[in-house]
Amino acid sequence: MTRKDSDQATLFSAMAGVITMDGKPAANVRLVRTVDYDKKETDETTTDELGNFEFPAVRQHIRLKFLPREFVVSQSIKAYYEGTEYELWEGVKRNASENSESRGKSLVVSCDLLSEEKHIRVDGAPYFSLCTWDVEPDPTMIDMEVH
Amino acid sequence: MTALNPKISSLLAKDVYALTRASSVNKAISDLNYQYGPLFNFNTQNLLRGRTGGPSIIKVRTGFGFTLIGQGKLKGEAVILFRGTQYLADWLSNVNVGTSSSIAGLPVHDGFNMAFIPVPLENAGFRAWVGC
Repeated sequence: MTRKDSDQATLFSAMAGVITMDGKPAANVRLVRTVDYDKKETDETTTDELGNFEFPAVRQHIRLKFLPREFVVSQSIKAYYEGTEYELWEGVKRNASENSESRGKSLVVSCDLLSEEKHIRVDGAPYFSLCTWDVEPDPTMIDMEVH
Repeated sequence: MTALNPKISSLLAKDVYALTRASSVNKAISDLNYQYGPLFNFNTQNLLRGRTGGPSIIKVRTGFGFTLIGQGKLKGEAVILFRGTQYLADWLSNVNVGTSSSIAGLPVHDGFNMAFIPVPLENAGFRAWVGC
């Protein structure tokens, strides 16, 4: 790893997935992804005829590393389909490493636009999403029986 | 009365960063309820905002923390939860290392005091401080 590589933080890990509407593949869904670390950055993609999509990782050089601060990145993906906006993904990334959203595994999601929003935490980072992916959520305080 | 234990306190101190960057106060409240529901009462008035940075032209107004009111086993407890350094602009507050007078008349870190002053802190009787 070069020194330059070590200064790179992953603001949003590479994501691949499939979008469905009531279980059926949703083609031509416009997906707009936003990350906000020091400033908001947006990119977008569109699902193919089978509802598949991919987003590359969003990485950023960490400036002024000698001034330590908490790593906190707002993440969002909105889906636009047949005139309706859906909040597909909202999260706050708290770890600069790749695939922290899925505890190191590749981030592969399945999202149904008619599903109920799910809320989990992964390593302390909250995610609200219409998607499911292969990850074990954090236990809640009730689970930990600390009260 | 059950006092806040170190585990809850440390989790809250970590969580405040994500909570202040949630897309809406309602999302942050939802996350707090999900994680701590039986322990605290939350509402949309709980978000504290402050201004960090240097001279006014580069000050940044952001979510700065939460107030939490204990319930159930934590009834009678309250927490004022502040985040620490998250934005580069926060370092301008950090290096403002002089002291100024607090509401109580005691000397405090001026950078924190300047960020804290805009916070409308009207809840009385708080017993615990977490974070910062």
